[in-house]
Amino acid sequence: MEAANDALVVIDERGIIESCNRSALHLFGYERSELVGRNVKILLPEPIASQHDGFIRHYLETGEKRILGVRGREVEGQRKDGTLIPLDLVVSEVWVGPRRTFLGALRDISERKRAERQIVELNERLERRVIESEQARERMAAILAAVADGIIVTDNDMRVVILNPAAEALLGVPSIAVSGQPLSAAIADDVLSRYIVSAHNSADYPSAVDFAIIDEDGANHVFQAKSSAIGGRADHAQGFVTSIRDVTREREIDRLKTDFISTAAHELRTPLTSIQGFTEVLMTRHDLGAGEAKKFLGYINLQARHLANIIADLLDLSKIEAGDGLAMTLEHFDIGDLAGEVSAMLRPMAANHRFDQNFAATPAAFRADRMKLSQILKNVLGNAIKYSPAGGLIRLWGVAAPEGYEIAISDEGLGMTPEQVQRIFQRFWRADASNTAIEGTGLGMTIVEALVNAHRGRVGVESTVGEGTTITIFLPLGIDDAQDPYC
Amino acid sequence: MRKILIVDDQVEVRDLVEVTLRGDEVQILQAASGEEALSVVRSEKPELVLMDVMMPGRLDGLEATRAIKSDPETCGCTVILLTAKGQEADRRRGLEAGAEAYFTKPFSPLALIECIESHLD
Repeated sequence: MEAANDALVVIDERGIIESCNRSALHLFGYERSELVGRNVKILLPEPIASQHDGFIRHYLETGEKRILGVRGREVEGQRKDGTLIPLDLVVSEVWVGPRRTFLGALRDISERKRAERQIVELNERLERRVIESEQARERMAAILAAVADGIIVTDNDMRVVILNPAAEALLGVPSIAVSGQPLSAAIADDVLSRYIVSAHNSADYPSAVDFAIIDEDGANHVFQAKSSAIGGRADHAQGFVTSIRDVTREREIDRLKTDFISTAAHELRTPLTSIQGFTEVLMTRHDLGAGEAKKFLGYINLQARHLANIIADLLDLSKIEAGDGLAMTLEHFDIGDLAGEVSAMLRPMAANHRFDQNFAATPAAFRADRMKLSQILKNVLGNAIKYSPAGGLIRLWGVAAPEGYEIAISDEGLGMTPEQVQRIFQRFWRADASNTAIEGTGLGMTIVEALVNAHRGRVGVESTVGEGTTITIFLPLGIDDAQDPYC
Repeated sequence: MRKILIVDDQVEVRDLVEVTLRGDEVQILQAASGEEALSVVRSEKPELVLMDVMMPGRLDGLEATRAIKSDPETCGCTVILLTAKGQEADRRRGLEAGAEAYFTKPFSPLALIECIESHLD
């Protein structure tokens, strides 16, 4: 009994402790003399202590086992210092000759209880985590669904974890179908999958890559893909997030800008060639005749003026395209009067021409920007004069219609082929660029179209080679300042 | 007498090159388009052609250069492109078309003479 690890306590039928082992003394913190002869209640906390006599009596009277048994039960004991200890208790009946005693074997289960409590706590914490991670997942799903960019998440084994709805749409595959699939199988576009692989494999992968996708309608879209490591540095990443943005419009604008700058540079260099070249010739060649020198000065002067015109037109065009230069000052005025002013201004250029002008009365509801319409007429009439170098009749007329007013200007000049008519509004394009007798920047009709658009109007072109050209400008009635003028 | 052909749709540029190169030992020919240039190259066999790149008409300067270089009768003729298109890609396209050199407008007439001399002899 002394050697047993469990605490052993023997009591008689009245509950008086007859003996106990060392483990029991150690467990409860008593000396043997303090326990032997005392009621076992001393080892129990209230209210069990007071009920204990009743338990024994009940058993002795009824034989009904409430405590006895091989199976242990959990009880609480009380140490001498008052602290409570969780105990596993097994009570057995022991007959000593005719005398019945009860042997209680007690085991301290503080450790087990603590472990159980920890498990409960861990479980609770885990549940909280699960709820939190569920919420985080929902938040993430909402964010992924809300962003317009495509998002592809890949794990360290280069398998697809998630495609957001935008990525599903642009790659044409449902997330569910490719989730868990290797990148190469999930993503058809070679450039994109190679880029994501390079992000996984190398710390110095390119910061972004462009790739193209042709949609169902056959339109080409340019996308920019950008990968970044999940969890900081690329070599310790838990995978990669790749965002995909439609940059079709940006790339188109870049291209237009580059084209425009390179065309503008070309157009500016052409007159500069004559200016630089002939000035150098005049400065270094002393064998030129007076007539020749005068001819070269004429070239220089002509090209310098041409350069000034290009710059003026470029500035006009850039103002128009910036939008703010198009602040429209709409007012009512007589169109015939304005046409008369413009043709009087240009008449000195047109010594060989006859003019015929006939404008119907301007409708009371007509409103337009007078300055801008003046520029429109100047450019169109200027072309009519320039492109009929042999002279002929130039007609200007105006017709009122219920919904607007149409102005037309015709010449009997060189005319254009259908291909030339197609290109008439193109910047820097000129109908007869080889004919240097006809000055021009190739921007006049581009400006006309932009200014007519600002009035919500239309420009029409009819032309036959060798017969002449007619330009019609239709300006609608009832435009007002409040409307966005540039459409 | 050496024959040099200048091809440009602008009369000022043709006149400028002509006055720049004018001398006893050189005959200057002029053409205003790619088509005209080809026919002059075939009939006159100039030693060198100064060719504008952007010209209206069926043949631009690059196409005219390719035609000159692909004809065994005319491929010995040196072609210098003379153009206001100064981007690197333009230069590459010009040299790919078979031109010996690429000269950008605006240019100094004296520098043009040097360039031509370095390509003749």
